[in-house]
Amino acid sequence: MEFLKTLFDLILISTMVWVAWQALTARALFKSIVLFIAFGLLISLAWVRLNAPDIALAEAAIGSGLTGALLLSALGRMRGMERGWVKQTRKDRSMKNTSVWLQKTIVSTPPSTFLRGLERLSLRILTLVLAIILFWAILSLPETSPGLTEKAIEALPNSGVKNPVTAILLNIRGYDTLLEVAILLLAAVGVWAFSRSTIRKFSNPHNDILLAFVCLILPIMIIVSGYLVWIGADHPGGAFQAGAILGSAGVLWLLSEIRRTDQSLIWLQRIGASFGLAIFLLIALVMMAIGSNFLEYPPKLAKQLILIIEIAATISIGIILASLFLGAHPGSEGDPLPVEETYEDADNQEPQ
Amino acid sequence: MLQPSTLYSLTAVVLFCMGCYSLLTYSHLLRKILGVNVMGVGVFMLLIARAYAGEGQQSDPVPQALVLTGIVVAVCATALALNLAVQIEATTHKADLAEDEENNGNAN
Repeated sequence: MEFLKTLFDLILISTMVWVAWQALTARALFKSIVLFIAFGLLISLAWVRLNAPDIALAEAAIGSGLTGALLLSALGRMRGMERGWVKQTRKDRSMKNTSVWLQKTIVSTPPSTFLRGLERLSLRILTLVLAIILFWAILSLPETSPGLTEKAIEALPNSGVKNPVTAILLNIRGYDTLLEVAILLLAAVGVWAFSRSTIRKFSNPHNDILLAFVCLILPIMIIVSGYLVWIGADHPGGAFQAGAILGSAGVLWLLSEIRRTDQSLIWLQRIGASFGLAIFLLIALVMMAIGSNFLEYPPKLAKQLILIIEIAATISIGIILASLFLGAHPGSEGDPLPVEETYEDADNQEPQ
Repeated sequence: MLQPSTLYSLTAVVLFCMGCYSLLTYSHLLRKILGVNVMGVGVFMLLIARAYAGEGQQSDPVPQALVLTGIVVAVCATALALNLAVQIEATTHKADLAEDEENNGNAN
């Protein structure tokens, strides 16, 4: 059995490294992104192997699913703008950043192939040296470290939940999670600040199959996400996994053209995005008012409070992740921004 | 037999270095973002591999919570970076950084 497990580890690891290398070096960007999605799925398999089902769930939904959707959407938008412009050859576009640096600092003539080769070689050597140092550092670590497992298990009965990861996220290390929700909101605000249009159109033709699929899968995704929030107290699951699934549901909803751009929805998007942070802070401040510390919950109330925070955070995370995918400004009622860009979706192969 | 903890820690280093190399070598912004993501996965894997305590044992939940937070923050940072990349392309009509300007001028 031990041998079989090691064999599995070796196969998984070599596949992961190979897929990652292919994803990073594939000539066509579209292929790179698809391989990166596959890489995410392999990684979530590794998380299961390493006894981290909470992270496996999050990785499968976020690391491969949502990141993949974001990358493909960005590629599609870049393609949409590239059309009609002078296309540079791929050789021009890659492998050049450092050569420019060298060119500016050492010589002022365009870099020769010799210089380019030299800089590639030196980068390879530097990366290799880095790898060797890190290998050495890891091999010199003690085989087992005490870690914080015991302390976390000790604190578990007072935290209100039975899943240690959820307990740490929402009770013991509440600060991290509060700031994380704030970072999510900041990212959404950042994306809104840079976007020039209020409505982003997906110009793919009307697709009955997608529409039927979305009608079927959307309610199931919402139920699964609710289930993950509830089960997160005792088993793997929780607000982030549930929020990620809600966000993916939002992405599907946006892609199938059953969306509306009412003012009420815009209002909902703004409120929804900040809802989680607001509830989180409100509960923390109320706890302060009745005599506890900031982000400290009395053991009797902890379960209920954590559930309220998790539900609010799930809704917020879902809405924020879907807005990040949409990438459009929600607009303001008095002064709607002009709709100027129409992006194409990245469902076509890379033009060579 | 190699311990899974050590095995996956070493994989983490390989992934980190691969990401780092591609971040430094490629100039296309999407490729840089992919490289940073692979580097991030390497860091997460190191944390989780060190948290692994063996078959049937409770893994250290603190690094797991950290990585869970990290994954969500990474997707946010990626979304923001992709948005910036799209804006750079929309403004300069190039998916490379502005430093490449004179070089591209020479090439065309």
